[in-house]
Amino acid sequence: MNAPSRSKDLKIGAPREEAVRITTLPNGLRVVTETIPALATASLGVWIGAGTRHEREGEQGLAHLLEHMAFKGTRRRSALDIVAEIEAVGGDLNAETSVERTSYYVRLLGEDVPLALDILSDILTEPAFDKGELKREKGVVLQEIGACEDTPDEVVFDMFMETAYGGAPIGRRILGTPKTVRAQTPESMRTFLDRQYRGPDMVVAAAGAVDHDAVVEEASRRFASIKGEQPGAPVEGVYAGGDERKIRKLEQAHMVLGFAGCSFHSPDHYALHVFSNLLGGGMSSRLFQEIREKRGLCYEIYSFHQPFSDTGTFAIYGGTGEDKLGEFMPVMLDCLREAAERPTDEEVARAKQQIKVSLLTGLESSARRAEQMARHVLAFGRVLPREEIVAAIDAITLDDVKRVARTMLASAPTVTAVGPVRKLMDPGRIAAHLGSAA
Amino acid sequence: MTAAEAPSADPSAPVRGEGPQVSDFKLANGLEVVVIPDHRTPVVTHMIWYRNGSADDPIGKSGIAHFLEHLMFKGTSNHPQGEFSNIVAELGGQENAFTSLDYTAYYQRVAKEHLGAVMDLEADRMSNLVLSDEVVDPERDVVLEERRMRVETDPGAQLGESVASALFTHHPYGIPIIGWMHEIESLGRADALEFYKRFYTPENAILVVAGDVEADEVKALAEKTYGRISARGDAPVRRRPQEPDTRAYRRVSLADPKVEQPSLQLGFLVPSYTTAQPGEAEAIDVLTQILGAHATGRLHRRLVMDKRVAVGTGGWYQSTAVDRSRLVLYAVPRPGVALEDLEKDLVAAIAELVEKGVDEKELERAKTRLIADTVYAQDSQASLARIYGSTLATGGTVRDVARWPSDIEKVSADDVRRAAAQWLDARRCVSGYLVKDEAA
Repeated sequence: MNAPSRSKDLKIGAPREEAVRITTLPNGLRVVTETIPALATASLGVWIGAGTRHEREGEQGLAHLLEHMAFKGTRRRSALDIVAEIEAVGGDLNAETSVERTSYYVRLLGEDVPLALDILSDILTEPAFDKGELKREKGVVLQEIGACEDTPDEVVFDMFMETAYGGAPIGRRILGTPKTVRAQTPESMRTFLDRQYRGPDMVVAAAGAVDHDAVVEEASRRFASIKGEQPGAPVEGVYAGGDERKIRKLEQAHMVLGFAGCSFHSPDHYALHVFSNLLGGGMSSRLFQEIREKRGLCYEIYSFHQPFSDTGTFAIYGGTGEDKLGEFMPVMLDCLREAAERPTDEEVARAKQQIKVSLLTGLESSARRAEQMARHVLAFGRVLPREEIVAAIDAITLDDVKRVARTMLASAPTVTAVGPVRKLMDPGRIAAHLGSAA
Repeated sequence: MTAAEAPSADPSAPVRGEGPQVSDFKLANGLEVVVIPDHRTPVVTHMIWYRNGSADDPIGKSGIAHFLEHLMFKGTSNHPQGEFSNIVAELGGQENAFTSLDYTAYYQRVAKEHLGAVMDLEADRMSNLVLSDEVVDPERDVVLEERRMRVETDPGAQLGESVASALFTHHPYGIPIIGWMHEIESLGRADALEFYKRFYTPENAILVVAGDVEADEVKALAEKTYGRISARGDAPVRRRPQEPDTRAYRRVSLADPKVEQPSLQLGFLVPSYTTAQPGEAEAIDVLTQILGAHATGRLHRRLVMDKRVAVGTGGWYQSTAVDRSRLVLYAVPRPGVALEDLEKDLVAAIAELVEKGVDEKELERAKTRLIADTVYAQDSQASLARIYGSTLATGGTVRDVARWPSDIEKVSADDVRRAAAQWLDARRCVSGYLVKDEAA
């Protein structure tokens, strides 16, 4: 058996960043494109720096409902026209709402980019917000809320965000509550759209078989009515920590344990990413090997770092049976403490290598690339070259990883749990168990 | 209509659905190899597929194919437990595995210079797996936990299992992939090794490599790694009882206090691409689109828009399968609408299609959608590799994959109407009701 080659140098491939172009329109809206030769498809979308955390009191769920309503008709097109026009060219129209962003995007065959821009601008600048459609769409969202309540591993994450941020807008449920969803009207939707969908917070991104100048020309005409003044900043996200448990008759207990992470503007955010990777990032990670492979205590266990513009959270998720709950929590805490105190050079090198390869994978797809560019432009005002990210990851040392892990563990823990969790360690003992690590 | 005559919004667009240049060859020991060059990013996806899945589990040993998939990460005589994943991680790779009804597959994604290393590791565990009770026992707990997470806490998944076992009265497709709880509990080391020896052979495997490589490089590497495994003779035979034509409409209903959102599904026993007459499965694919497409499908227009009895509808067809398979249509009711009434409306939408047929516009839209999906799949190395792997593992060929878009183009409105009349028949149907148990 040959020893596998373990070369540490990673070829990132020919730099593609020179194919990236950015233009800022008079109202502040930015257009970013990357022409990828040899691609028959194109992806194009509009990303807006507005999401759940920009909702005011009584508006909970509005960002998401608005995203749904966007496809439900404009002054020129019915709901069916919108999908039928895109389908006729083999396209695929979709949208997403998250804490800080909303996006609307289209995948197309060939070069029907002008049609995509026509439809996207139409739904964002001239939505009809028909009353009948709104009523029906509320029904769809209420069903989504119901389906989410049926899924305990979603409930436990919703509880985690609410608890970690002490109920502040950044931690609220994206879907909103049945009451706030029912309360929305065409007027409230127009108010939110007009207030939050502003040029400086919007990016049109396209990748694949696209021509930058053509996209800019088309976009400047079609998005001219979007206002240029920057909307006000959202309520600051302040990590609080806490403990919230819901005892439910389920076969499995779901738990999230978390701490304060950092913003994607923080220089430490890559180091925390490395720590998360070695702790619970994959099949070679400590949590996977110790809790699942060695002890068979659960099927799913992982950790992740979720950075926002001004804050972030670090979290571990695990699900286990009631009979194993007693063993599960102390083992997980020991694992976490041990990883924070004594990560090895080998683990850090492995985590860095994995993060670098994951930067490359998937980028053959135009959809992934457009999304990544849009995120970068909204967050950093430019597209970060891959070489720059790789250099930042390469520069992380073992001491950096220890330092960020120590800082993180010094924050107040957030514990949320759903299921048969009566026997779950109480908050005081969890804190005490972790205490010696800080 | 042929591919050349198909209307296309952009005359300069490439031929619809045309895929990459794929090579297919066999090693001396019988291992089939498929290479899909894709030079957009310096990464390769390496997958090994075995032509065995949960439907090949021996009677009373449900879940063994899936359990073995877990145990394949437990080390070999050359690499102790954990080393495989450590090496893949050290190479910066991502890995995983999955078990379906008809096949089991393992994959890694790595920078292209590490392809030889992962081939070496994967070839090693095709023949040198070592299992002890110390690793088998905790892993059984992991699988039991997986079943608890995926099924025991999820009434929707439990209904899915019940619909499948009512739909397949005789064929093992009616048994869950993960296995029944009481049978998983009794699976042991000897069961796993017996299954491993029977199915994990070069003759029963397909190697699929997609990425920044050429066929010659892959061939040379495959001969150096997999080529060293000795042939076992013939490929193992799958022995499965076949599903008869069913005659009774069946309804299963599951009530659980945890249900917040009731739903309705109708499952139909239909041919798969492997069992169908030429053109038949393609017609069912198009039919499923016409009925179930999001926002434009018949079910959406009739149940959501016109009658306002549903908030959502859809459908899927498990087309890639060795034996007779299924088509499922579903609808989520508006609050206050009884599932019995929703079912009547859904059945009426099917009857309307059978009676009046489909118009050319919706036919064309459905085909465009299906073919577009395959073009988008080509955007991703991993999904491309999956299409070839699953087709070959269920009895198809590389040519079938290449020909599929033009076969879809040939489906006529009449083919679709006939497929609906023949297959969406109450005698082939199981309806599944998911309702909230208010009494509990």
